[in-house]
Amino acid sequence: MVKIKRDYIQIAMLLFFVILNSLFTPNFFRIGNFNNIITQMCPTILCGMGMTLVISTGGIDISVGSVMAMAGVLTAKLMPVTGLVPAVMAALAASVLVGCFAGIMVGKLRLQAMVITLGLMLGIRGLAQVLCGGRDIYFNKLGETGKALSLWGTYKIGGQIPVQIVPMAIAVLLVWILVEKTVLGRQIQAVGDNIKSSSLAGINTSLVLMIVYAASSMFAGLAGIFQAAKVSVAAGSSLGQMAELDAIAAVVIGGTPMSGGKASVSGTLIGALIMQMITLTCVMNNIPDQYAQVFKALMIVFAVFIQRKQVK
Amino acid sequence: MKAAKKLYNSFYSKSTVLAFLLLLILASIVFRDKNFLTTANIFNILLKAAKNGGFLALGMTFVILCGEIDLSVGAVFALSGVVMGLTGQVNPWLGLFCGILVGVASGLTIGVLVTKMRISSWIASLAMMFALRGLILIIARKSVVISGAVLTFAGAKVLKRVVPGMQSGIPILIFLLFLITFLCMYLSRNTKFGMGMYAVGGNQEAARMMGIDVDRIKIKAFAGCGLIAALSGVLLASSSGSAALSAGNSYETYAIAMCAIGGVKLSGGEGKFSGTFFGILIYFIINTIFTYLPTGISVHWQSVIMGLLVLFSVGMQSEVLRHIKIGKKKEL
Repeated sequence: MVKIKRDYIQIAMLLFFVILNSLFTPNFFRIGNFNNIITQMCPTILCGMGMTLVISTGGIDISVGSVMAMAGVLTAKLMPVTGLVPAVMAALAASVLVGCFAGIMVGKLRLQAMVITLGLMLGIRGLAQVLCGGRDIYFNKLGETGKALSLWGTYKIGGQIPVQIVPMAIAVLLVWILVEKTVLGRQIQAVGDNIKSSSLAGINTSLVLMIVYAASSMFAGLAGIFQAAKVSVAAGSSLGQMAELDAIAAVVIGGTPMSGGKASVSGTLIGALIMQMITLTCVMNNIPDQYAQVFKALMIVFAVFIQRKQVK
Repeated sequence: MKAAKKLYNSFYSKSTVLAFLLLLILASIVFRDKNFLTTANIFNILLKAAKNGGFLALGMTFVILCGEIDLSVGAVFALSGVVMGLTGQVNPWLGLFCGILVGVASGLTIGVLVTKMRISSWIASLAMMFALRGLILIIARKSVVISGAVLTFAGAKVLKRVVPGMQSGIPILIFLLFLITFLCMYLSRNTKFGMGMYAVGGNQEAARMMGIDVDRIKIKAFAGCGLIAALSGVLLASSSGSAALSAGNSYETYAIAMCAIGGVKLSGGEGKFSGTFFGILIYFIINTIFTYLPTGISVHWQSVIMGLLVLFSVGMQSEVLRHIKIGKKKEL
């Protein structure tokens, strides 16, 4: 009952924005607009799915933005040598490695997730910048493979729907099944609730944590590759900047508590949609960017505040 | 002897001090032909620390000790300088006052959001960061020029011709850095508020049951953090003569990193301001070393090294490692 109520309030907020937009925003119900929403939401959703898992274990992963940059740059670097698919695989493998490292530090050595991922955030961002040598890598200078990767970001399925919907749908479905239908999902939430008692109950907590952080990094890597493909450029310094904060905001607006123990996948999806709606409302009504930022801040605080009261 | 012991105890974060000394010695050996360990260079490092957000780490320590986080310090850093420049055109003293007031107000707001409205400090301070960055662009179109004797006070230098190697005098910013560090150390060790911070960060529920007003202490800590961030922004603007709109971008990350290097436990309740101070120094020594390196090495390695340093310095704090060293692995 409580769960239904909580979902209800998020959907109500989303509906509020949809109605607000349909009243005041010209061209809101255009297909092009929906396609825009999908393309822009892609990194937030992908990172948000991993972040939902991490936050539900009571941790946090602020390295996702840097992992995005690393994966994007690595793909662009390897692509001319190895071809497209191996390069993507290598970038994803590197991302998973980073996640495994964070998971081992958090799970085995019992260190605070925030510091570990902070260290990784600085380190991996630096690595991404070193890799691309301080210059942005433009895909149109990479020949055929560059064009192929650009298609990953610009291709439209049936000439209409952006390709980004595929990774988004797969990620949401995978994480939803993981959380709601599998033993591992139960274990993840148990670890977040009380790590000591779940360890005593026979859960291999360090393995669970490692899987969670690896998954978060993998999704971040995927997000980085798709984001780089969308803009057709891999920039070590700007790719994925602030992505971690967007993802955290989406998760928290979606009703997953920062203290852990509960994961709401549908909530994160709605949270990301609400964030996107806020941005969209501002952009399509020609509100200047600086006012939009203040508005966005107010809306985030408001959304989280409503959440909190409902949970209590 | 007793006094010496007391002084030593107040710098308890041994590993950080050790790392600092090690780094200093190493750098002076490697760069001995480039005069690394000269008075001028040491003062240069201190000045850099005072100008480029060293203060922010001190403020951040208050909040982290309470087990919270403040992501808005970078934005406060920029906003306070801009506000000082704009209101300073009316009256310089009003400018200084308003510049610092901005930080206190934003800190108080975050504190109230976190304690009374029960919003996670991540979200509250993130929202504050967005709002303040927007506000900066609303109130100013381009960077604000700061002039006048009162407003540019922080550019002053004192003790001319006293210290050898520093003929033109020592910037007062350096004294302020030391002064504020000692003030914070005093606050955290000798006052009810300071003790309360450790209690709240260690175990909030226990602190509440002991009769500590948890909300009040958290709000004070956030206000203190905002105050120091604003002061830092005012000092930078005042010493450089202009307030840039994009100042302090992503400084919050560096401030948290300096705290982590200084041995402050990021989940709250443990850590010292002296540790943070050495964390700041370590950060800026590495920063300076990178200006000494040959041009073939990418400056971006700096970020990698900083990340490794954070990982290493927390890795050493791990309870698990400590037990392995002693030889009895306890059930954790």
